[in-house]
Amino acid sequence: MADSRAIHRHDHTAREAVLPEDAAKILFDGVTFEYIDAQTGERLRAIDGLTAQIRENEFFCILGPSGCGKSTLLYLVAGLLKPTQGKILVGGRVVKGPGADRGLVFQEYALLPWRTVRENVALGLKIRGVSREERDAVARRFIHLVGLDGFERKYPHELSGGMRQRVAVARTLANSPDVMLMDEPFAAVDAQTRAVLQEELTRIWAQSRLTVVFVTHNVDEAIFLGDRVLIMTPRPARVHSVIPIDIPREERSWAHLDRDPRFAALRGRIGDVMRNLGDGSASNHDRG
Amino acid sequence: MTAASAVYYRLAMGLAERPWLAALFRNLGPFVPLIAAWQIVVLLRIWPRSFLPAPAAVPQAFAFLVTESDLPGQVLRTIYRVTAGGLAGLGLGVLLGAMVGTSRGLHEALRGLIDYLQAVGEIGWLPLFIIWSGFNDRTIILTVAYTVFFPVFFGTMAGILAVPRTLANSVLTLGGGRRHVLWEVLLPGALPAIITGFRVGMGFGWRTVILAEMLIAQLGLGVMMFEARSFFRVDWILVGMVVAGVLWLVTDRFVLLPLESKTIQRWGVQVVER
Ligand SMILES: Nc1ncnc2c1ncn2[C@@H]1O[C@H](COP(=O)(O)OP(=O)(O)OP(=O)(O)O)[C@@H](O)[C@H]1O
Ligand SMILES: [Mg+2]
Repeated sequence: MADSRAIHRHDHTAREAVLPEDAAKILFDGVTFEYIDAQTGERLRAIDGLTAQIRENEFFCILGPSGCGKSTLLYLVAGLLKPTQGKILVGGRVVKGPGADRGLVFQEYALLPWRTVRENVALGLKIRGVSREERDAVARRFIHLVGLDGFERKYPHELSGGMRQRVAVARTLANSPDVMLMDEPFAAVDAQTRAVLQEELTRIWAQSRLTVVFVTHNVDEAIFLGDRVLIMTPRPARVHSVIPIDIPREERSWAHLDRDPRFAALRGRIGDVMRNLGDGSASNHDRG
Repeated sequence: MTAASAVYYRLAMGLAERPWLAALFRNLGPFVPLIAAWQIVVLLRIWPRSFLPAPAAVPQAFAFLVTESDLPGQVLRTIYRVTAGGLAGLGLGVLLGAMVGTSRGLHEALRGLIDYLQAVGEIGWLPLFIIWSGFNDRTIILTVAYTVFFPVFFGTMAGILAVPRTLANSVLTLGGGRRHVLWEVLLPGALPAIITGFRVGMGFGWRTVILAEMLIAQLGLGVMMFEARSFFRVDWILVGMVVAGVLWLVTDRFVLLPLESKTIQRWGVQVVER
Protein backbone atom coordinates (compact mmCIF):
# COMPACT_ATOMS: atom_id res chain seq x y z
CA MET A 1 0.00 0.00 0.00
CA ALA A 2 2.57 2.50 1.09
CA ASP A 3 4.70 1.73 -1.95
CA SER A 4 1.91 2.17 -4.41
CA ARG A 5 1.12 5.52 -2.86
CA ALA A 6 4.70 6.62 -3.03
CA ILE A 7 4.65 5.88 -6.73
CA HIS A 8 1.31 7.57 -7.06
CA ARG A 9 2.74 10.82 -5.93
CA HIS A 10 5.05 11.09 -8.89
CA ASP A 11 2.67 9.53 -11.36
CA HIS A 12 0.72 12.65 -12.09
CA THR A 13 -1.10 11.37 -15.12
CA ALA A 14 -3.01 8.87 -12.97
CA ARG A 15 -4.28 11.60 -10.69
CA GLU A 16 -7.64 12.23 -12.30
CA ALA A 17 -8.76 8.62 -12.25
CA VAL A 18 -11.77 8.03 -10.03
CA LEU A 19 -10.85 5.96 -7.02
CA PRO A 20 -12.89 3.17 -5.55
CA GLU A 21 -14.69 4.53 -2.49
CA ASP A 22 -12.58 2.74 0.08
CA ALA A 23 -9.34 4.10 -1.33
CA ALA A 24 -10.30 7.69 -0.60
CA LYS A 25 -9.08 9.19 2.66
CA ILE A 26 -11.85 11.75 2.57
CA LEU A 27 -15.04 11.19 0.63
CA PHE A 28 -17.76 13.80 0.21
CA ASP A 29 -20.90 11.99 -0.83
CA GLY A 30 -23.60 14.38 -1.98
CA VAL A 31 -22.95 16.74 0.91
CA THR A 32 -25.45 19.53 1.44
CA PHE A 33 -25.28 21.89 4.35
CA GLU A 34 -27.74 24.58 5.40
CA TYR A 35 -27.27 27.08 8.19
CA ILE A 36 -30.51 27.60 10.09
CA ASP A 37 -31.09 30.96 11.70
CA ALA A 38 -31.95 30.30 15.35
CA GLN A 39 -34.39 33.22 15.51
CA THR A 40 -36.19 33.22 12.18
CA GLY A 41 -35.68 29.58 11.22
CA GLU A 42 -34.50 30.83 7.85
CA ARG A 43 -32.26 28.44 5.95
CA LEU A 44 -29.11 29.40 4.14
CA ARG A 45 -27.65 26.76 1.85
CA ALA A 46 -23.87 26.95 2.03
CA ILE A 47 -22.98 23.63 0.36
CA ASP A 48 -25.11 22.03 -2.30
CA GLY A 49 -24.72 18.32 -3.03
CA LEU A 50 -20.95 18.39 -3.15
CA THR A 51 -19.23 15.16 -4.16
CA ALA A 52 -15.45 14.78 -4.20
CA GLN A 53 -12.71 12.52 -2.94
CA ILE A 54 -9.32 13.15 -1.47
CA ARG A 55 -6.61 10.48 -1.41
CA GLU A 56 -4.56 9.48 1.53
CA ASN A 57 -1.42 11.62 1.82
CA GLU A 58 -2.72 13.94 -0.86
CA PHE A 59 -2.11 17.67 -0.72
CA PHE A 60 -5.51 18.94 -1.72
CA CYS A 61 -6.11 22.64 -2.24
CA ILE A 62 -9.47 24.38 -2.33
CA LEU A 63 -10.06 27.68 -4.08
CA GLY A 64 -13.33 29.54 -4.21
CA PRO A 65 -14.88 32.99 -4.04
CA SER A 66 -15.26 34.59 -0.63
CA GLY A 67 -18.32 33.37 1.25
CA CYS A 68 -18.86 30.35 -0.99
CA GLY A 69 -18.60 27.80 1.81
CA LYS A 70 -14.94 26.76 2.11
CA SER A 71 -14.75 27.15 5.88
CA THR A 72 -18.08 25.40 6.18
CA LEU A 73 -16.69 22.46 4.23
CA LEU A 74 -13.69 22.16 6.57
CA TYR A 75 -15.98 22.39 9.61
CA LEU A 76 -17.98 19.50 8.18
CA VAL A 77 -14.88 17.34 7.79
CA ALA A 78 -13.76 18.32 11.28
CA GLY A 79 -17.14 17.17 12.58
CA LEU A 80 -18.02 20.54 14.05
CA LEU A 81 -21.05 20.71 11.75
CA LYS A 82 -23.22 17.87 10.48
CA PRO A 83 -24.33 17.64 6.84
CA THR A 84 -27.99 18.43 6.24
CA GLN A 85 -27.91 15.76 3.52
CA GLY A 86 -25.29 13.32 2.32
CA LYS A 87 -22.32 12.09 4.27
CA ILE A 88 -18.61 12.52 4.71
CA LEU A 89 -16.30 9.55 5.18
CA VAL A 90 -12.82 9.91 6.58
CA GLY A 91 -10.70 6.78 6.44
CA GLY A 92 -13.79 4.81 5.48
CA ARG A 93 -15.82 5.93 8.49
CA VAL A 94 -18.71 8.35 8.53
CA VAL A 95 -17.79 11.54 10.38
CA LYS A 96 -19.93 11.76 13.48
CA GLY A 97 -18.15 14.44 15.46
CA PRO A 98 -14.82 16.15 16.07
CA GLY A 99 -11.70 14.14 16.83
CA ALA A 100 -7.94 14.53 17.15
CA ASP A 101 -7.40 12.60 13.89
CA ARG A 102 -8.64 15.65 11.97
CA GLY A 103 -6.81 18.81 12.98
CA LEU A 104 -8.17 22.16 11.92
CA VAL A 105 -6.22 25.39 11.59
CA PHE A 106 -8.98 27.95 12.02
CA GLN A 107 -9.23 30.93 9.73
CA GLU A 108 -9.54 33.10 12.86
CA TYR A 109 -6.68 31.21 14.61
CA ALA A 110 -8.79 30.39 17.70
CA LEU A 111 -5.86 30.49 20.12
CA LEU A 112 -6.64 30.54 23.83
CA PRO A 113 -5.88 34.13 24.90
CA TRP A 114 -5.01 33.09 28.48
CA ARG A 115 -2.42 30.53 27.40
CA THR A 116 1.12 31.27 26.31
CA VAL A 117 2.38 30.33 22.88
CA ARG A 118 3.95 27.18 24.33
CA GLU A 119 0.80 26.20 26.21
CA ASN A 120 -1.32 26.76 23.13
CA VAL A 121 0.93 24.62 20.98
CA ALA A 122 0.99 21.87 23.63
CA LEU A 123 -2.75 21.95 24.23
CA GLY A 124 -3.60 18.82 22.24
CA LEU A 125 -0.91 16.85 24.04
CA LYS A 126 -2.12 18.13 27.40
CA ILE A 127 -5.63 16.96 26.57
CA ARG A 128 -4.17 13.56 25.76
CA GLY A 129 -2.43 13.44 29.13
CA VAL A 130 1.16 13.69 27.88
CA SER A 131 3.63 14.68 30.61
CA ARG A 132 4.72 18.28 30.92
CA GLU A 133 8.36 17.67 29.94
CA GLU A 134 7.37 15.79 26.83
CA ARG A 135 4.80 18.37 25.75
CA ASP A 136 7.28 21.18 26.29
CA ALA A 137 9.80 19.39 24.12
CA VAL A 138 7.29 18.79 21.33
CA ALA A 139 5.98 22.35 21.60
CA ARG A 140 9.49 23.75 21.37
CA ARG A 141 10.12 21.74 18.20
CA PHE A 142 7.02 23.02 16.44
CA ILE A 143 7.48 26.58 17.66
CA HIS A 144 10.95 26.43 16.12
CA LEU A 145 9.48 25.01 12.94
CA VAL A 146 7.20 28.01 12.45
CA GLY A 147 10.04 30.37 13.30
CA LEU A 148 8.80 31.62 16.66
CA ASP A 149 11.75 30.74 18.91
CA GLY A 150 11.88 33.09 21.85
CA PHE A 151 8.14 33.72 21.82
CA GLU A 152 7.25 30.65 23.91
CA ARG A 153 6.13 32.68 26.89
CA LYS A 154 4.24 35.37 25.04
CA TYR A 155 0.49 35.56 25.05
CA PRO A 156 -1.44 35.65 21.76
CA HIS A 157 -2.41 39.30 22.18
CA GLU A 158 1.29 40.16 22.27
CA LEU A 159 1.80 38.69 18.77
CA SER A 160 1.06 40.00 15.31
CA GLY A 161 -1.68 38.42 13.23
CA GLY A 162 0.81 36.46 11.16
CA MET A 163 2.57 35.17 14.27
CA ARG A 164 -0.72 34.04 15.77
CA GLN A 165 -1.52 32.22 12.59
CA ARG A 166 1.82 30.40 12.78
CA VAL A 167 1.08 29.41 16.38
CA ALA A 168 -2.23 27.98 15.19
CA VAL A 169 -0.41 25.94 12.53
CA ALA A 170 2.12 24.70 15.09
CA ARG A 171 -0.65 23.76 17.50
CA THR A 172 -2.39 21.59 14.92
CA LEU A 173 0.86 20.01 13.69
CA ALA A 174 2.00 19.23 17.24
CA ASN A 175 -1.12 17.17 17.75
CA SER A 176 -0.05 14.90 14.84
CA PRO A 177 -3.39 14.47 13.08
CA ASP A 178 -3.97 12.15 10.08
CA VAL A 179 -5.82 14.86 8.26
CA MET A 180 -4.82 18.48 8.46
CA LEU A 181 -7.57 20.93 7.53
CA MET A 182 -6.09 24.36 6.94
CA ASP A 183 -8.29 27.41 6.47
CA GLU A 184 -6.20 30.07 4.74
CA PRO A 185 -3.44 29.40 7.25
CA PHE A 186 -0.88 31.76 5.75
CA ALA A 187 -3.21 34.59 4.76
CA ALA A 188 -1.87 37.00 7.39
CA VAL A 189 1.79 36.08 6.95
CA ASP A 190 4.21 38.17 4.91
CA ALA A 191 5.35 36.79 1.55
CA GLN A 192 8.81 35.77 2.69
CA THR A 193 7.68 33.93 5.81
CA ARG A 194 4.89 32.38 3.80
CA ALA A 195 7.36 30.88 1.33
CA VAL A 196 9.34 29.39 4.23
CA LEU A 197 6.21 27.99 5.85
CA GLN A 198 4.95 26.54 2.58
CA GLU A 199 8.22 24.71 2.12
CA GLU A 200 8.26 23.47 5.73
CA LEU A 201 4.70 22.27 5.40
CA THR A 202 5.36 20.35 2.19
CA ARG A 203 8.46 18.84 3.79
CA ILE A 204 6.51 17.60 6.82
CA TRP A 205 3.74 16.40 4.57
CA ALA A 206 6.15 14.52 2.27
CA GLN A 207 7.79 12.77 5.23
CA SER A 208 4.50 11.61 6.71
CA ARG A 209 1.19 10.13 5.68
CA LEU A 210 -0.53 13.38 6.43
CA THR A 211 -3.47 14.29 4.21
CA VAL A 212 -3.75 18.04 3.83
CA VAL A 213 -6.87 19.95 2.82
CA PHE A 214 -5.72 23.48 2.25
CA VAL A 215 -8.11 26.38 1.64
CA THR A 216 -6.58 29.45 0.09
CA HIS A 217 -7.45 32.56 -1.88
CA ASN A 218 -4.06 32.60 -3.50
CA VAL A 219 -3.88 30.85 -6.89
CA ASP A 220 -0.08 30.68 -6.87
CA GLU A 221 -0.10 29.14 -3.42
CA ALA A 222 -2.59 26.49 -4.52
CA ILE A 223 -0.43 25.56 -7.51
CA PHE A 224 2.77 25.55 -5.49
CA LEU A 225 1.35 23.31 -2.76
CA GLY A 226 -1.36 21.19 -4.31
CA ASP A 227 -1.46 17.78 -5.90
CA ARG A 228 -4.88 18.84 -7.09
CA VAL A 229 -6.85 22.03 -6.78
CA LEU A 230 -10.60 22.01 -6.31
CA ILE A 231 -12.40 25.13 -7.46
CA MET A 232 -15.70 25.76 -5.78
CA THR A 233 -18.67 27.63 -7.26
CA PRO A 234 -20.12 30.66 -5.47
CA ARG A 235 -22.56 29.81 -2.69
CA PRO A 236 -24.20 27.36 -2.53
CA ALA A 237 -20.90 25.60 -3.12
CA ARG A 238 -20.55 22.84 -5.64
CA VAL A 239 -17.47 21.49 -7.35
CA HIS A 240 -16.70 23.67 -10.32
CA SER A 241 -13.64 21.69 -11.38
CA VAL A 242 -10.71 19.72 -10.01
CA ILE A 243 -7.41 20.58 -11.61
CA PRO A 244 -4.37 18.32 -11.22
CA ILE A 245 -1.07 20.12 -10.78
CA ASP A 246 1.29 18.21 -13.03
CA ILE A 247 4.52 19.80 -11.92
CA PRO A 248 6.82 17.35 -10.12
CA ARG A 249 7.55 18.22 -6.51
CA GLU A 250 11.30 18.44 -7.11
CA GLU A 251 10.73 21.26 -9.56
CA ARG A 252 8.50 23.27 -7.28
CA SER A 253 10.63 25.96 -5.80
CA TRP A 254 9.58 29.55 -6.09
CA ALA A 255 12.77 30.37 -7.94
CA HIS A 256 11.99 27.73 -10.57
CA LEU A 257 8.25 28.20 -10.81
CA ASP A 258 8.38 31.81 -11.90
CA ARG A 259 10.02 30.71 -15.13
CA ASP A 260 8.10 27.46 -15.57
CA PRO A 261 5.69 27.55 -18.55
CA ARG A 262 3.50 24.87 -16.93
CA PHE A 263 3.12 27.11 -13.90
CA ALA A 264 2.21 30.07 -16.08
CA ALA A 265 -0.35 27.96 -17.95
CA LEU A 266 -1.99 26.69 -14.76
CA ARG A 267 -2.00 30.12 -13.24
CA GLY A 268 -3.68 31.54 -16.33
CA ARG A 269 -6.24 28.78 -16.50
CA ILE A 270 -7.18 28.82 -12.81
CA GLY A 271 -7.07 32.60 -12.68
CA ASP A 272 -9.55 32.83 -15.58
CA VAL A 273 -11.92 30.41 -13.88
CA MET A 274 -11.71 32.33 -10.61
CA ARG A 275 -12.38 35.64 -12.30
CA ASN A 276 -15.44 34.27 -14.06
CA LEU A 277 -16.74 32.72 -10.85
CA GLY A 278 -15.97 35.47 -8.45
CA ASP A 279 -16.91 39.08 -8.45
CA GLY A 280 -16.71 39.12 -12.25
CA SER A 281 -18.02 42.63 -12.79
CA ALA A 282 -15.48 44.20 -10.46
CA SER A 283 -12.47 42.47 -11.94
CA ASN A 284 -13.68 43.18 -15.47
CA HIS A 285 -13.89 46.84 -14.60
CA ASP A 286 -10.41 46.69 -13.19
CA ARG A 287 -9.19 45.19 -16.39
CA GLY A 288 -11.35 47.25 -18.72
CA MET B 1 11.62 77.58 35.18
CA THR B 2 10.19 78.89 38.38
CA ALA B 3 10.57 77.30 41.79
CA ALA B 4 6.91 76.35 41.79
CA SER B 5 7.13 74.49 38.53
CA ALA B 6 10.29 72.74 39.75
CA VAL B 7 8.44 71.58 42.85
CA TYR B 8 5.52 70.47 40.75
CA TYR B 9 7.88 68.63 38.41
CA ARG B 10 9.59 66.81 41.29
CA LEU B 11 6.23 65.90 42.76
CA ALA B 12 4.95 64.60 39.44
CA MET B 13 8.14 62.58 38.89
CA GLY B 14 7.92 61.17 42.41
CA LEU B 15 4.36 60.07 41.78
CA ALA B 16 5.21 58.63 38.39
CA GLU B 17 7.94 56.51 39.96
CA ARG B 18 5.60 55.26 42.68
CA PRO B 19 2.30 54.38 41.05
CA TRP B 20 0.78 53.25 44.34
CA LEU B 21 1.47 56.64 45.88
CA ALA B 22 -0.18 58.30 42.93
CA ALA B 23 -3.13 55.96 43.29
CA LEU B 24 -3.35 56.79 46.99
CA PHE B 25 -3.44 60.51 46.24
CA ARG B 26 -6.03 60.00 43.55
CA ASN B 27 -8.22 57.97 45.87
CA LEU B 28 -7.80 60.17 48.95
CA GLY B 29 -8.17 63.46 47.11
CA PRO B 30 -11.98 63.73 47.33
CA PHE B 31 -11.88 63.07 51.09
CA VAL B 32 -10.08 66.32 51.77
CA PRO B 33 -12.95 68.69 50.89
CA LEU B 34 -15.42 66.30 52.52
CA ILE B 35 -13.60 66.38 55.86
CA ALA B 36 -13.09 70.13 55.56
CA ALA B 37 -16.83 70.64 55.04
CA TRP B 38 -17.54 68.43 58.02
CA GLN B 39 -15.18 70.50 60.16
CA ILE B 40 -16.88 73.71 59.01
CA VAL B 41 -20.34 72.36 59.84
CA VAL B 42 -19.10 71.44 63.30
CA LEU B 43 -17.56 74.89 63.81
CA LEU B 44 -20.82 76.55 62.75
CA ARG B 45 -22.53 74.61 65.56
CA ILE B 46 -25.53 73.74 63.46
CA TRP B 47 -26.00 70.58 65.46
CA PRO B 48 -25.01 69.81 69.03
CA ARG B 49 -21.61 68.14 69.40
CA SER B 50 -23.28 64.92 70.49
CA PHE B 51 -25.05 64.69 67.13
CA LEU B 52 -21.94 65.35 65.07
CA PRO B 53 -18.52 65.38 66.72
CA ALA B 54 -15.54 66.98 65.02
CA PRO B 55 -13.44 64.90 62.62
CA ALA B 56 -10.64 64.89 65.17
CA ALA B 57 -12.89 63.02 67.60
CA VAL B 58 -12.85 59.98 65.34
CA PRO B 59 -9.16 59.01 65.74
CA GLN B 60 -9.52 59.60 69.49
CA ALA B 61 -12.52 57.30 69.64
CA PHE B 62 -10.64 54.82 67.48
CA ALA B 63 -7.72 54.72 69.91
CA PHE B 64 -10.13 54.31 72.79
CA LEU B 65 -12.02 51.46 71.13
CA VAL B 66 -8.80 49.65 70.21
CA THR B 67 -7.51 49.71 73.77
CA GLU B 68 -10.71 49.49 75.78
CA SER B 69 -13.13 47.51 73.65
CA ASP B 70 -11.11 45.05 71.55
CA LEU B 71 -11.97 46.71 68.27
CA PRO B 72 -9.45 44.54 66.35
CA GLY B 73 -11.10 41.37 67.66
CA GLN B 74 -14.51 42.59 66.60
CA VAL B 75 -13.25 43.60 63.18
CA LEU B 76 -11.56 40.22 62.71
CA ARG B 77 -14.83 38.49 63.49
CA THR B 78 -16.56 40.58 60.86
CA ILE B 79 -13.81 39.90 58.35
CA TYR B 80 -14.13 36.19 59.05
CA ARG B 81 -17.88 36.25 58.42
CA VAL B 82 -17.70 38.30 55.25
CA THR B 83 -14.83 36.18 53.89
CA ALA B 84 -16.50 32.85 54.65
CA GLY B 85 -19.79 34.04 53.22
CA GLY B 86 -18.06 35.56 50.22
CA LEU B 87 -16.18 32.38 49.40
CA ALA B 88 -19.31 30.26 49.81
CA GLY B 89 -21.22 32.61 47.51
CA LEU B 90 -18.34 32.54 45.04
CA GLY B 91 -18.22 28.73 44.94
CA LEU B 92 -21.95 28.32 44.60
CA GLY B 93 -22.23 31.13 42.08
CA VAL B 94 -19.53 29.67 39.83
CA LEU B 95 -20.99 26.17 40.10
CA LEU B 96 -24.54 27.13 39.26
CA GLY B 97 -23.47 29.80 36.79
CA ALA B 98 -21.38 27.22 34.92
CA MET B 99 -24.25 24.73 34.90
CA VAL B 100 -26.77 27.25 33.62
CA GLY B 101 -24.24 28.76 31.21
CA THR B 102 -23.48 25.43 29.56
CA SER B 103 -26.95 23.91 29.42
CA ARG B 104 -29.74 25.49 27.46
CA GLY B 105 -32.27 23.30 29.29
CA LEU B 106 -31.07 24.33 32.75
CA HIS B 107 -30.92 27.91 31.58
CA GLU B 108 -34.56 27.83 30.63
CA ALA B 109 -35.58 25.87 33.72
CA LEU B 110 -33.75 27.95 36.33
CA ARG B 111 -33.48 31.46 34.98
CA GLY B 112 -36.91 32.57 36.25
CA LEU B 113 -36.39 31.06 39.68
CA ILE B 114 -33.01 32.68 40.10
CA ASP B 115 -34.28 36.10 39.02
CA TYR B 116 -37.08 35.68 41.56
CA LEU B 117 -34.72 34.71 44.39
CA GLN B 118 -32.52 37.68 43.62
CA ALA B 119 -35.54 39.96 43.91
CA VAL B 120 -36.44 38.53 47.32
CA GLY B 121 -32.98 39.45 48.56
CA GLU B 122 -30.92 38.33 51.52
CA ILE B 123 -32.70 40.59 54.02
CA GLY B 124 -36.01 39.02 53.07
CA TRP B 125 -34.56 35.66 53.95
CA LEU B 126 -32.90 36.73 57.17
CA PRO B 127 -35.86 36.00 59.50
CA LEU B 128 -36.16 32.55 58.00
CA PHE B 129 -32.41 31.92 58.28
CA ILE B 130 -32.62 32.91 61.94
CA ILE B 131 -35.42 30.44 62.61
CA TRP B 132 -33.61 27.68 60.74
CA SER B 133 -30.09 28.33 61.89
CA GLY B 134 -30.27 30.56 65.01
CA PHE B 135 -28.50 33.68 66.18
CA ASN B 136 -25.01 32.63 65.16
CA ASP B 137 -22.17 33.07 62.69
CA ARG B 138 -23.66 30.49 60.37
CA THR B 139 -26.72 32.63 59.78
CA ILE B 140 -24.62 35.69 59.04
CA ILE B 141 -22.36 33.74 56.70
CA LEU B 142 -25.39 32.33 54.91
CA THR B 143 -26.79 35.81 54.46
CA VAL B 144 -23.53 37.12 53.04
CA ALA B 145 -23.26 34.08 50.76
CA TYR B 146 -26.75 34.77 49.48
CA THR B 147 -25.71 38.33 48.64
CA VAL B 148 -22.47 37.41 46.90
CA PHE B 149 -24.03 34.51 45.02
CA PHE B 150 -26.06 36.52 42.52
CA PRO B 151 -23.43 38.79 40.98
CA VAL B 152 -21.05 35.82 40.75
CA PHE B 153 -23.76 33.64 39.23
CA PHE B 154 -24.69 36.18 36.58
CA GLY B 155 -21.04 36.99 35.90
CA THR B 156 -20.18 33.34 35.38
CA MET B 157 -23.17 32.69 33.17
CA ALA B 158 -22.72 35.77 31.02
CA GLY B 159 -18.96 35.20 30.88
CA ILE B 160 -19.39 31.65 29.62
CA LEU B 161 -21.98 32.66 27.05
CA ALA B 162 -19.63 35.37 25.75
CA VAL B 163 -16.70 33.02 25.07
CA PRO B 164 -16.26 32.74 21.26
CA ARG B 165 -17.48 29.39 19.97
CA THR B 166 -14.38 28.82 17.88
CA LEU B 167 -12.31 28.51 21.06
CA ALA B 168 -14.45 25.61 22.22
CA ASN B 169 -14.32 24.20 18.70
CA SER B 170 -10.53 24.36 18.66
CA VAL B 171 -10.35 22.25 21.81
CA LEU B 172 -12.79 19.75 20.28
CA THR B 173 -10.69 19.39 17.12
CA LEU B 174 -7.62 18.78 19.29
CA GLY B 175 -9.38 15.76 20.74
CA GLY B 176 -10.89 17.35 23.84
CA GLY B 177 -14.29 16.52 25.27
CA ARG B 178 -16.87 18.51 27.20
CA ARG B 179 -14.72 18.43 30.32
CA HIS B 180 -11.79 20.00 28.49
CA VAL B 181 -14.03 22.59 26.90
CA LEU B 182 -15.24 23.57 30.36
CA TRP B 183 -11.84 23.72 32.07
CA GLU B 184 -9.70 24.95 29.19
CA VAL B 185 -12.10 27.33 27.53
CA LEU B 186 -15.34 28.25 29.27
CA LEU B 187 -14.20 28.80 32.85
CA PRO B 188 -10.94 30.60 31.99
CA GLY B 189 -12.82 32.61 29.39
CA ALA B 190 -15.40 33.59 31.98
CA LEU B 191 -12.80 34.39 34.64
CA PRO B 192 -12.72 38.16 34.16
CA ALA B 193 -16.53 38.24 34.39
CA ILE B 194 -16.44 35.96 37.43
CA ILE B 195 -13.96 38.22 39.20
CA THR B 196 -15.98 41.30 38.31
CA GLY B 197 -19.08 39.57 39.69
CA PHE B 198 -17.21 38.66 42.87
CA ARG B 199 -15.97 42.22 43.26
CA VAL B 200 -19.46 43.61 42.96
CA GLY B 201 -20.79 40.87 45.24
CA MET B 202 -18.24 41.55 47.97
CA GLY B 203 -19.10 45.24 47.85
CA PHE B 204 -22.68 44.30 48.65
CA GLY B 205 -21.46 41.61 51.05
CA TRP B 206 -19.78 44.22 53.27
CA ARG B 207 -23.10 45.99 53.68
CA THR B 208 -24.89 42.75 54.34
CA VAL B 209 -22.49 41.60 57.05
CA ILE B 210 -22.76 44.91 58.93
CA LEU B 211 -26.53 44.81 58.75
CA ALA B 212 -26.81 41.15 59.73
CA GLU B 213 -24.48 41.76 62.65
CA MET B 214 -26.60 44.67 63.84
CA LEU B 215 -29.63 42.43 63.83
CA ILE B 216 -28.38 39.18 65.26
CA ALA B 217 -24.76 39.13 66.48
CA GLN B 218 -23.19 39.76 69.87
CA LEU B 219 -19.78 40.66 68.50
CA GLY B 220 -18.50 42.38 65.39
CA LEU B 221 -18.14 45.75 63.75
CA GLY B 222 -21.86 46.03 63.04
CA VAL B 223 -22.67 45.17 66.65
CA MET B 224 -20.26 47.78 67.92
CA MET B 225 -21.87 50.43 65.75
CA PHE B 226 -25.36 49.44 66.76
CA GLU B 227 -24.52 49.32 70.48
CA ALA B 228 -22.90 52.73 70.24
CA ARG B 229 -26.29 54.08 69.29
CA SER B 230 -27.72 53.20 72.71
CA PHE B 231 -24.86 55.10 74.41
CA PHE B 232 -25.34 57.96 72.01
CA ARG B 233 -21.71 57.60 70.92
CA VAL B 234 -21.83 59.07 67.45
CA ASP B 235 -18.01 59.04 67.39
CA TRP B 236 -18.00 55.25 67.81
CA ILE B 237 -20.49 54.89 64.99
CA LEU B 238 -18.28 57.06 62.83
CA VAL B 239 -15.26 54.89 63.69
CA GLY B 240 -17.24 51.86 62.52
CA MET B 241 -18.15 53.58 59.28
CA VAL B 242 -14.57 54.61 58.64
CA VAL B 243 -13.16 51.16 59.46
CA ALA B 244 -15.69 49.33 57.29
CA GLY B 245 -15.14 51.74 54.42
CA VAL B 246 -11.37 51.69 54.63
CA LEU B 247 -11.23 47.91 54.91
CA TRP B 248 -13.37 47.53 51.82
CA LEU B 249 -11.45 50.14 49.89
CA VAL B 250 -8.14 48.49 50.75
CA THR B 251 -9.38 45.00 49.82
CA ASP B 252 -10.86 46.28 46.62
CA ARG B 253 -7.98 48.47 45.49
CA PHE B 254 -5.17 46.19 46.53
CA VAL B 255 -6.63 42.74 45.90
CA LEU B 256 -9.77 42.59 43.80
CA LEU B 257 -9.20 45.42 41.35
CA PRO B 258 -5.61 44.41 40.49
CA LEU B 259 -6.81 40.82 40.07
CA GLU B 260 -9.54 41.96 37.74
CA SER B 261 -7.27 44.21 35.69
CA LYS B 262 -4.64 41.51 35.47
CA THR B 263 -6.99 38.87 34.10
CA ILE B 264 -8.63 41.28 31.71
CA GLN B 265 -5.21 42.38 30.49
CA ARG B 266 -3.88 38.86 30.11
CA TRP B 267 -7.06 37.90 28.33
CA GLY B 268 -6.13 40.46 25.73
CA VAL B 269 -8.70 43.14 26.37
CA GLN B 270 -7.46 46.67 26.79
CA VAL B 271 -8.11 48.03 30.28
CA VAL B 272 -9.27 51.57 30.73
CA GLU B 273 -7.18 53.48 33.27
CA ARG B 274 -9.20 53.91 36.43
N1 LIG C 1 -22.69 30.43 11.62
C1 LIG C 1 -23.29 30.80 10.48
N2 LIG C 1 -24.61 31.04 10.45
C2 LIG C 1 -25.21 31.40 9.31
N3 LIG C 1 -24.59 31.55 8.14
C3 LIG C 1 -23.27 31.31 8.10
C4 LIG C 1 -22.54 30.93 9.26
N4 LIG C 1 -21.25 30.77 8.93
C5 LIG C 1 -21.18 31.04 7.62
N5 LIG C 1 -22.38 31.36 7.12
C6 LIG C 1 -22.68 31.69 5.71
O1 LIG C 1 -22.35 30.57 4.92
C7 LIG C 1 -21.71 30.98 3.74
C8 LIG C 1 -20.38 30.27 3.63
O2 LIG C 1 -19.54 30.72 4.67
P1 LIG C 1 -18.04 30.23 4.82
O3 LIG C 1 -17.49 30.85 6.03
O4 LIG C 1 -18.00 28.76 4.70
O5 LIG C 1 -17.40 30.90 3.51
P2 LIG C 1 -15.88 30.87 3.02
O6 LIG C 1 -15.86 30.29 1.68
O7 LIG C 1 -15.01 30.26 4.04
O8 LIG C 1 -15.58 32.43 2.91
P3 LIG C 1 -14.18 33.20 3.09
O9 LIG C 1 -13.38 32.91 1.87
O10 LIG C 1 -14.58 34.64 3.14
O11 LIG C 1 -13.55 32.71 4.34
C9 LIG C 1 -21.59 32.48 3.80
O12 LIG C 1 -22.59 33.03 2.98
C10 LIG C 1 -21.84 32.85 5.23
O13 LIG C 1 -22.53 34.04 5.31
MG1 LIG D 1 -13.62 30.98 5.29
